[in-house]
Amino acid sequence: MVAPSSTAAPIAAAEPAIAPAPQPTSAAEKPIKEGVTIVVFSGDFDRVQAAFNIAVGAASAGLPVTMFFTFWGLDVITRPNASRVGRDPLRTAFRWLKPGGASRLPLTRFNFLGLGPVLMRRLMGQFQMPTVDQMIELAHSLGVRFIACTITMGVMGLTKADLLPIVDSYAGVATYLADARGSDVNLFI
Amino acid sequence: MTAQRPTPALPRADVVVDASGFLCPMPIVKLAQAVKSVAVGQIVEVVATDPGILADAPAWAQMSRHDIIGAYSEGDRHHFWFRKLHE
Repeated sequence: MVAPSSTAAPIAAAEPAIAPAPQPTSAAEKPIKEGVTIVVFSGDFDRVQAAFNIAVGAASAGLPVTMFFTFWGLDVITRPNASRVGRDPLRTAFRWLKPGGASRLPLTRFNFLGLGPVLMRRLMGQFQMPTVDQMIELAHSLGVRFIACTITMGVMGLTKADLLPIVDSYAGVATYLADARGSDVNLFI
Repeated sequence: MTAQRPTPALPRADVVVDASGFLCPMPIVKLAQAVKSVAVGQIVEVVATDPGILADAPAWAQMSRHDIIGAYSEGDRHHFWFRKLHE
């Protein structure tokens, strides 16, 4: 990959509040804005599958890809054997009711108390489609960055130890915005 | 097919990736892995049965800035040849 030109300086958090006046540039001199950011808000199996298809496809074309996992999306990157003890009874109850894990994700429709995903996985297996667990590994091996939202982690009683080791960083909205501003494809799933 | 058709002059690949039977995004993933493994200037051929490849192969080449130097379909088997242009 060609390194971005010096004009495409990363958005530093320490920059002064007043942005420098934009320099008039010709079309050819415009900084290359290229990359994909995906907010994975949903923890639904089918939506997550679509998110990973896009992430893996983009990473295969050499584009930088960042996936932000927030709210129910955190289920995707929760270890299957994560602790079910929260720091208070309410969070512990939450962890028991919703233990998370990529292999436990429900379907948006036709869930039928968990029967839907079982059938869907079987069908996808017949078509040699990778499962969400395999997609996570594939995306990680292709260099997709995984970011976990710390705010929702706190709400749901999740700690870093509860998440998969492939998570690259733990961050909030500013990190997401900085990444999204530098990319030209931005999705909320 | 037994009828003799004039076979177009097809490029000779250094690496052939058979992604038949695989669905989106796997043909592209396998293609990308193969292109990564060869040297600049070498040719990778991908064979896929997912008809999505007909649109996805040119789109992938454009995004990743490699060249498509040949395409050939035989029934539902689609062949594309790519030349690696850069690391």
